[in-house]
Amino acid sequence: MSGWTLELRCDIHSFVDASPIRLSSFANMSIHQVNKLPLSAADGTYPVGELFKVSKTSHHETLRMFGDLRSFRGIASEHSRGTFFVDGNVGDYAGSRFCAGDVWISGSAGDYLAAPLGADRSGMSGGRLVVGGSVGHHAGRRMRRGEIVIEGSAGDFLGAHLVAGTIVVGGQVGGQLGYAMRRGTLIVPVLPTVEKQRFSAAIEYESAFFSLLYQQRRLHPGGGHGPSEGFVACTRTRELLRRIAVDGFQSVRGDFSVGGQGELIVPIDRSQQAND
Amino acid sequence: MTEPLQINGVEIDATFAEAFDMKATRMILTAADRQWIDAAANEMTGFGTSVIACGIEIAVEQTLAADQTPDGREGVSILAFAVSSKEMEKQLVRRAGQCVLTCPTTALYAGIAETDPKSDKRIPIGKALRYFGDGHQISKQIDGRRFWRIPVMDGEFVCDHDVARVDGIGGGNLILFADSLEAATLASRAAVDAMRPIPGMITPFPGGITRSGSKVGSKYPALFASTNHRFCPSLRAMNRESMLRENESVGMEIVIDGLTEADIAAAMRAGILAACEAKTRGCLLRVTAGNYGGKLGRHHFHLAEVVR
Repeated sequence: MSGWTLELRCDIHSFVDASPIRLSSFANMSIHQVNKLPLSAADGTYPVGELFKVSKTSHHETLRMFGDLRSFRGIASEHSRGTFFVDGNVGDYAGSRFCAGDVWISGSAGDYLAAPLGADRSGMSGGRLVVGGSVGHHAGRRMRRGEIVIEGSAGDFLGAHLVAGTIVVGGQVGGQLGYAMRRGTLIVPVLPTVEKQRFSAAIEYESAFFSLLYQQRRLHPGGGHGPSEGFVACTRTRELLRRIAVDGFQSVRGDFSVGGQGELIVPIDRSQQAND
Repeated sequence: MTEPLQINGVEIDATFAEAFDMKATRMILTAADRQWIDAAANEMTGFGTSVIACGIEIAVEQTLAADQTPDGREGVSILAFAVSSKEMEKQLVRRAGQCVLTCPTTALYAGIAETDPKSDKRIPIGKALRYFGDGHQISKQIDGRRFWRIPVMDGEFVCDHDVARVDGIGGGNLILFADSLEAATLASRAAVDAMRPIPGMITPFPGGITRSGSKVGSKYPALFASTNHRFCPSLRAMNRESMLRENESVGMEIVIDGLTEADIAAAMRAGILAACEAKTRGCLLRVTAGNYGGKLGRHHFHLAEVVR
């Protein structure tokens, strides 16, 4: 058995650093050891067992957390293998330094999703992070590789300083989208307002890639097998990718202020064109 | 003495086709319409009949509908066979670069299912071609699979980073003897048509058929293959080694490369039965196969067994 379940026992009102909760750390630990693992909080230190009911499961390389975890920062930090599920909301810095595997969050996430911590220069460097709700500001900051799928909306500075990787947002996005991005792809439903000095005008061209992305994207965890199937429906992001594959897309390149050649991709609105 | 096996009056020789191990791979080529697909596939598989001089044996395996390809467009699958991984890499990178990348709207994908763990025997595609993008190429991973987007004048050329190389078998064959050119042609074409729907194999010669059956070696030291004089009707009168029988005036061979022994055996069976049933008005006389006495390859396909 290499799976774990952590169910929140009580409401907590101070911020807790959840970064020690990792599959890789738990691999060689007993339930007793996990229960004793200390989590730093603004008002002291809590052992995991005091905040969560911990149990082992038969699901291979899986960690599931249940509860409203908005007070918990750094959930799924340094996640490097297997699948991390959160059934609820999470706080800031979720998926920080995430490098491989999958992270699925059914609710919403705070600021700095998958962004670097402190003075780190490198954000998420691999794997896939799916959020069923919305995310705060600075999501995907300094991301280097991998993909982030956000069903709801995203705050300001989405994909700021993006180095590579793909971020798909099903809902609205805030200001300064792709600020100082060098490479990478931001896929959003509507053409954002961008500074002309930083980004190109929208252009249309053909590429089989977005048909490939729509066809191959496995927007369900674990290949659709086991208890995780349908954890996050991904209805809006899947529809967005379908529209891009079928109707075509517009591409905006930038951020030229840093010599970037990243891309913002939006679907062509055929219904709008017909009305025009 | 047992009677020779006959199907529809055509004698099936008590012999075997001798095949040998090769390196193999499969690629999937897609494009915006069937005309571009055919144009690119014809170029990519051109001059790919025999490893004797082409370096590779390559042909279209199957026509694929939109729901059978990675990007949801129509396409074809292409099988390639070579004697070494080095030669396979050399040939495929050149062909992908000059014949597919150059053709408008095309994309090229790996067609061999990945194993777990991922095989480390790889043939580069985008890994080699990406440099054509001159720094503007974009790498993307989808579910752990790496693709390249290379900017070109009609948009982007999309391809897999690499494709797995697997073990394959080359040199499965059938030789059909008839008493006329027309009968040999009709029977051979019927055989190839019957083989075509079978996945996992190709018949790389023109129209799937060759007239230049060869033997190992030559009187000229520089050649390592030459015409199989035992099967040439024009040499029968002056050749004691001739294996042609009375009335056998035309021979045609179908060479079959496959991913597995079962693929080749299935193709040979379909081909033999179709040739014997073809409307040649009784002029197809015999079906045999080429071998080297079992000394060259470890895969032996006995005709009587494959049709059983």
